[in-house]
Parts: sequence; C-alpha cells; structure tokens
Amino acid sequence: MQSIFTYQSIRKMLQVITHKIKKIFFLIIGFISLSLPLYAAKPIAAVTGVKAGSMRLMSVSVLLETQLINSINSAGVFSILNPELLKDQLTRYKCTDEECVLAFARTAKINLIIRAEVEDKGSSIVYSIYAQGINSPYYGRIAYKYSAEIPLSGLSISTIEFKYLSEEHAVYFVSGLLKNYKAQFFINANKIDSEESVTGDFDLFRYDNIYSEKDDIASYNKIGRVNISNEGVINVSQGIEVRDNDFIFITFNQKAEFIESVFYGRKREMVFENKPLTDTAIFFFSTVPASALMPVLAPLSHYKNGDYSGLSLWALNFLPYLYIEYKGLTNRPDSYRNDRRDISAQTSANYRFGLYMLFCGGIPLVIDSFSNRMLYQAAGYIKQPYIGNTMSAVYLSLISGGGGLFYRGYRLEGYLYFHLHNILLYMALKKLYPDENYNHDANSYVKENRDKKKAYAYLGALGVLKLIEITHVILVKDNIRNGRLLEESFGFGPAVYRDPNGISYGAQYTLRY
Amino acid sequence: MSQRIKNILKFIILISLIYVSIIIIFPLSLTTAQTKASPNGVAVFGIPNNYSSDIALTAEAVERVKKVFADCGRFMPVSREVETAYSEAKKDMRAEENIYTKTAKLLDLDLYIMLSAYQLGNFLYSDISIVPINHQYKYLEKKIRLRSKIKFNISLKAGKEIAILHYNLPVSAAVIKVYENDTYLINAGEWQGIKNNEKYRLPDCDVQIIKTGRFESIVKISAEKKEGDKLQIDIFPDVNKIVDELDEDISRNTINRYELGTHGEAEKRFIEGICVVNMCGNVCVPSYGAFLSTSYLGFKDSKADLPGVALSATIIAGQLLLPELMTDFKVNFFPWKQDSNKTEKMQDLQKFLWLSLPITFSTAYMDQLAYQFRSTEHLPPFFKDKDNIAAIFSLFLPGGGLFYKGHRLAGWSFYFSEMAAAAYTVYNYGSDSSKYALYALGIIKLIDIAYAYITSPSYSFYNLEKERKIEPVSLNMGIKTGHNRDQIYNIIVTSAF
Repeated sequence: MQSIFTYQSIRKMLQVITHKIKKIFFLIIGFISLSLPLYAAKPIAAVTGVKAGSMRLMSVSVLLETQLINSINSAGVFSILNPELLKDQLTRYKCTDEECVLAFARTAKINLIIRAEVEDKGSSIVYSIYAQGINSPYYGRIAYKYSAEIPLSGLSISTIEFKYLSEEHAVYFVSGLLKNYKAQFFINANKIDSEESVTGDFDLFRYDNIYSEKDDIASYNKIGRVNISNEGVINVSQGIEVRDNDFIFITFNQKAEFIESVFYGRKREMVFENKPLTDTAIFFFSTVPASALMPVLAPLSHYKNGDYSGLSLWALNFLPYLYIEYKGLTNRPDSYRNDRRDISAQTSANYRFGLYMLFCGGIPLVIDSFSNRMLYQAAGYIKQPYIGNTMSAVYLSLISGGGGLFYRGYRLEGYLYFHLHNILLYMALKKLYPDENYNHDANSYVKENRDKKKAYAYLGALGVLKLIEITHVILVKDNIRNGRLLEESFGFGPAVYRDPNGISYGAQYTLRY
Repeated sequence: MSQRIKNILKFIILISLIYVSIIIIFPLSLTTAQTKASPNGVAVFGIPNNYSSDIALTAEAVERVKKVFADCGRFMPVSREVETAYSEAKKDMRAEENIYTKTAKLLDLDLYIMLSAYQLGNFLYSDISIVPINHQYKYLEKKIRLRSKIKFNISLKAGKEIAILHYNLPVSAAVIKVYENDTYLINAGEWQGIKNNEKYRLPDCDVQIIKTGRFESIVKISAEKKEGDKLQIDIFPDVNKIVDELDEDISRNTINRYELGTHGEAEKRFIEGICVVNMCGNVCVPSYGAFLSTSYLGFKDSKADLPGVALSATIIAGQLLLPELMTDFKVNFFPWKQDSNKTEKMQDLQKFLWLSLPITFSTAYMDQLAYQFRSTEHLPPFFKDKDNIAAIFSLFLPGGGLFYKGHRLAGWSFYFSEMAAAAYTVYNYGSDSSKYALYALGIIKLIDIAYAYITSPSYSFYNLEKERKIEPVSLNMGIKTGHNRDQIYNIIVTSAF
C-alpha cells in the first residue's frame, strides 16, 4: 500500500501546520503574556483605550493613551499589560462595553482597568479618566476618577503642546490614583506576595468563609494589626493567627507626591525663564511708578487680556481704598495746618495710608492684572518671562499685601492678604497718630493722648501676618497646573445642616462614584 | 518517519485543543459572568433614511442615547449582541411581527428605543420611540419628536429626553445567590447607585449593604429571600446633574453657532460700544446715534428699530425740556444757570435730568442692540454667563438686564419706573415723600435685578434649542439647492410614527 505521506504532501502539510501553529502560537503567546503577570507580585493594570469625542481629537486620544501608559510605567507600582495585545483581544471578542471588559479583567486576573474619554467642548476639551479596581476592595467599582477641562482659547497649541498637556494630566491622574488606590497583597507562608519591599504596620483582613473562589465579590473583615518587615510577618495582634490568603491593603502616597513634585519641577524649567535677580530688580525699580499708575494700569491690563472677572474683582476690591487714598491725598495734614484747622487721627491716617497706596500699596493689583494671564499661558506650555521666581514673590509680599500670592497665581488668597494687610495697616496708622487740636490762644497745636498699646498691637498683628504671608509665599507652588479640575473622587469641605435642634455645623467628606 | 508525523499530529491536536478551549471557554466564561449579574438591558436601534448625512446624524444620536442610559444606571445598553440577534430575528419573521420587538425579546431586554434623526428644510428632527418589553416599565412607553437648527444639538436633546425618562426610576434588583446568615448576592451595585455600608428600607424588609461591586452587591436582608426574588430599592439617578450637563452643552453649541464675530473680540467691542462709541454717537445724533453705534459690533445689513428710536428721542427731548414744560418755558434751559423763575427744587430736577442723559443713551443703545440681536439672529456677548451679566446690567442701567435678554417692553417699563422714582426723589429731596420714593426705587431696583437674573432670554432661535418635545404634527417649508443647482422648494407635513 502506497503511503499517503509523500514528501511533497508532508511538506505542504508542514507548511500549513507551520502557518496554523504560527497563528495559534501568537494567540497562545498573547494569552500567556496576558497571564504572565499572574505570577508578578505587582498589581496589574490595563489601559483599555481612550475614546475620542470627535474626529479632531483622534490624535489627542492616542497621545493621552501613550502618556497614561508611560506615567503608569514610570510610577513603578503596577505591571502594565501590553496595550496593543489587549486591544486586539478585546476587539477580537467585540468586548468593548464596560460589563464585558470587567468580566475579561476578572478572567485575566487584572487588578486595575483604566479607560478614558476625550470630549470636544469647542473652546476647550475635557479629559475624563477612570480607574476601576477589579479585586478587593473594589470589585469593579471606580477606584479613582479624574476629570479636567483644558482651555484652548488664547493658546497656540500644536502637537508638541498637546503631548505635554496629555502627559501632565496623565501624571496627575496617576498621582491621584496612587493616593486613593488600595492595593491588595496576600500573605502566604507568613510572607507578603510582593516583589516590592513592604514594611510597616497594617490592618489585617480575612475573607468571610461563606464564599467560594468562583465568586466575583466577597465580604471580608478586619481581624487585627500586623507588622511586616522584609523577612515577613514579625508581629500580629494578640490572639490572632495569620493564615494563608489573609491580606493587607497598601496605598502609595509617597510615590504619588514624588511623581507630582518631579513633574512640577520639570514644568517650571520648561515654562519660566527663571532670572530671579533681574526680575526682582525690575519689580524693585518699577514698584513706585506701577503702584502710582495702578488705578489706570490694572483695569487696562485686565481689559486687554480679556480678564473680565479680574476687572470686576479689581473694581469691587479696590474702590474702598481708592476712596481713602483720594480723601487722604486731597486732605493733607499740612494744608490743615496752614488753615489752622484741627487735624484728626483719621485725617493723618488717611494721608499716610494714601501715600502708602500711592507708592507701593497698589502693586499687588498691578501684579494680578498681568500675572493671571501669564500663568495661564505658562500652564499651556508657553514660556514666560518675569514670573515664577520665589525671590520676586517674597519681595512683593514684603512691600505690600498679597503681592506674592497674586504673583504665584492665587487670586483668592491674594485678595485675602491684601485686605487683611490694608485693614491692619490703616488701623495701626489711626492709632499711631494722635488728634491734633489747634489752640488759638497759644497759636499752636495740642496733641491729644494716643492709644499706644492698640497701635503696637495692630503693628504686631501686621508683623505676624507678614511672616505668615511670606512663609505661605515661599511654600506655595506657582499656579501653573493646566486645566480646571471638574470633579474628583473625593472631597472634603464644611457642612451646615438644619436639624430639629437647630443648625449643626461640621465637616463633610464626599465620595463621588 | 511515521513516528515524527504522529508526534506532529499529536502536537497539532494538543494545540488545537488549547486553541478550541481558549476560543470557546474564554467567551463562554465572559458570557456566564455577564448574564449572572447583568442589569436591566436596553437596545437602541437607529433607523436612518437613505441620506448619508442623516445616517451620521442618527448614529451620533444613538451613541449619545446609549451614553445617557449608561450614565443613568438603570438600563445597560447592549451593543455586542444586537447584530447577531437582529439577524437571528430576521430568519423566520412573520408578517405581523416587529423585527425590533423580536430582537429585543431574543436579547431578553426590558425595553428598546427606535431613533431616527433627519433634516427637513432648515430644521433637524429626531423621532424617538420608547418601547417597553418588560411590563414593569409599561409606563415609560412614549413617542417624542425633537427639533433643532444645530447638528450637534439634536443628539444632545435626544439624550436629555432619555435622561428625563429616568426621573424617579428606582433600582430594580434581583437576588442572584443565597448565602448563609441572611446574606445574599444581588445584581445591583455602584453602577445603579448602591453605596457601601448603606441601609435601605424596603416595604417588607431592610437591606443592609455589606460590600458593593460595580454591578453586584453582597447584602443582608431582614426577610428571607430566594434566588430570583425582586427588590425595589428607592435610589434614584441624579438626573438633574446629567440634564444640566447636556443643557450646558446645548447652550455652548448654540452660543458658538449664534455668537457675534470672533470670541473675545465681540466682548471687547460690546464694552467699548457701551462706554465710548454709543456715548459719542448719541452726543452727535441723539437717539439715532444709538442705532448707528450698534454697527460697531459688526451687524450686517442692520436696520434701525424706528419705534425704539422715536421712544428714546422723545425721552431725551423730555429730559431736556421737562423743566421748561413745567414752568411754561420760563426757566433757563441750562441747569447750571439759575434765574428767578428757577427754584432750587427745579434746578435739582434739571441737573438730575441732564446728568442722567448717559443712562438714557445707554438704555436706548441696549434697546437697539436687543432688536439687532433678535432680527439678525445673534446672541449678545457674554451669553455663557447670561444670568449674571443680565443682573449686572440691571444694577447699572434701569432694565438693562432685560434688554440684554431681549425683553424690550419689560426693559422700558423698569426704565420708566426707576427714572420716575429717582426724579421724584430728587425733586422732593428732604421731604418724607422723597424718602418713600427712594425706598420704592430700591425695591424696584431689586426686582429689576432679580427678574433680569431669573427670566429666560426671549430670543426665539435660542429658545428653539432649549425647547423639549414638539407637537407630533408639524408643518415646515424650506428651499434647498439640488445636484443640478436647481432650487427645490418643499412643504413638509410631519407626523410622529
């Protein structure tokens, strides 16, 4: 009987087999690579794609995805799945909706699914990035959500700037995620399943024993505290025995702070010219003319920059001081003296306060009128002169109220210091100068007693305020963060509630899901 | 040789087995996991006509509606399985059957949506049919027709209607697993709005949430339940937040479509127009100068509103001549000149009337602007913050905010009331009646500001984008240019299906 396996047929068969095996091999490799991180001790993260809201955002979504993967990789906390392979697998099974992706993640033992969306809002775009934890304590819930609106008006944004913007938001997302995400690490044979060094005191958890391994969700309880060193578990709460599959949760706050500060430092270098001495000298020599011209300079600058909210704030906040300045400079004590009129402490204080506002008190509002725009442009990766150095910020805070904070880009805090400084200075001046009454008989002025104690108290308070302000200015970062955060997963704020016993005051902690 | 081939064949069989198991088991595992905890489902069927633009419009609306369903967390839009189910349903269709109902039933959905978006004349329409399959949601059945003139808005309006559908829609969950100690697994989680550790009171039992997942939760229930038992938990979706976001998007698209000139430039010209151009214009040509100054904002082919010009001219003449008329032309025309016939009170009134001329100029300007905005279909600058801006205008100008929002009659009413109260206060300054007039002025001003803030704009093209459903039968006319550049006139009578 002639064999069916001739050389040619076998060769052909082998060619077919090789081709098939190749395909199968790739698929298996794909699955093996998907399952490889099963044995890795880091939590596994997968970026399942960035959805673009319009055609013009297609390239932006690709940039954001790349930057997300880069940022997650550089954080070093997660093992990240090969995104191309993942996409291929998900598309192959048409597994694109949330339910299916979560089921896939559970099957593939992925710990964290990251997806994002870029929406077109005309003059701005919105990045929404979600991280969903797959295992405890999330079971598919949103572990962290980051949503930011990025303004595009008034900026010339090319691909390179979009790359930077995407990188910045990716970094802030990852840092927020690291602060909020709780990674689950199991203890087996008295050792932590982690290739990273895990040391310290942790809460120890154990699953309730009513669930099977197949369950997607299970409840657990805290059973005590555990102390872990590089050698393993060294101490547990009294009466507790550590069993295999007990677990702890770990957060990564320090790493989050680190990647944020590294990014901030790099951005500062990119967007500021950073010439502290020259800039401070320029501010020093322009203080008096700029302050004197402030009532004209500041509104024009706000108007030119299209900063109408800044213009309104300037008008509302400056008007009372303009009144005192005008009143003080037009009613000088010297002219009163010439007319032999009584000089009240208020007249003296108004005059001196008017002089202060004329020579340096107006500078914060001039700074606000241009720094706001410059910092906005710096946030959009356009290099800026004059701003961004601590020496100038300290100088401005030293000579006026809130100047340094306006310079750093904090309008609210700037106005707060501006008002506190001006009020304390005015009160101090009012108490420092006595009423002077003209005595017609003696043809001279009689000084009334002044309240020295109060004057020094106000001056002391002003000094303390100045110290606080300067420390604040040194510690605070330049406000060059791009975009406006729309909402974050967690929030903390004051709370006022009405209840049957009256009004209750307190603090609230808000979680968005 | 044969041993090698055997080995190769063995290897192939082994690999094939792995391949088959991966191909079959993996999707199965997904399906199993999915059906186990699936929330209620909805299918959104786009029904476009043959025009490519309408197909794109419908597809966009379908995507938006699906997104809103997902955001509201009550019905999970299905997408993967719809095509297969649709083909399956088509196979043995009977004449009386509806293909969409059959598909939805095949997919075991709770409801489905039929949606079409199309252009007729100058309007874009969207017809939405909500068809419940599950009798529990029978009350949701309805047909809605929406219209817009802006392509991007039609899908947003469809989304808004779907969001509104979710008002007061509680979570409907089912027990999918029974554990010991009154502990159960239910198919509702964070996606539906269930929160960790919350306790919900149901008519027949209490439900204590122990652990929440995305689509499932472990709960303790105070009454005994078995697998498949339904629970209706009174948690409602945050519809207002979703509607507000969609409304914001609709407003933004509308402002982009109807804004005057380039963004940023129009705002500057608006302020310059009020502060400088109009003042100079009115000094040169009182009243008509207000209309001339509007052209500084860049209106094309604008026409003056003559009744408005006549009214403001009359007011300006009145302000200049009122003291003369009150004294039979015996007093000096200029307020800074006092004569024997001009009492101090009269001089104060004359000063007030002359000094308030810039207010009248500005009001006349705002009135002409309101007319131009309406007739040329443009929205005023700063319209994104329309309520705040209107309140600020009313603070500085009598009725200013109402003119800004296009309510000219109301604007003039507030102008006359406030100016009359102010003039009376000045004329009777120092007397009790002056005090009462001043209080009245304060109250009118407050009403003016509040009304300007809360009232809706009167621009019909803006309100059209904000309106909700329209009547099922409508008549429209339009002109289109055909392929051969010939004009096509159409009269359209439409009726909801």
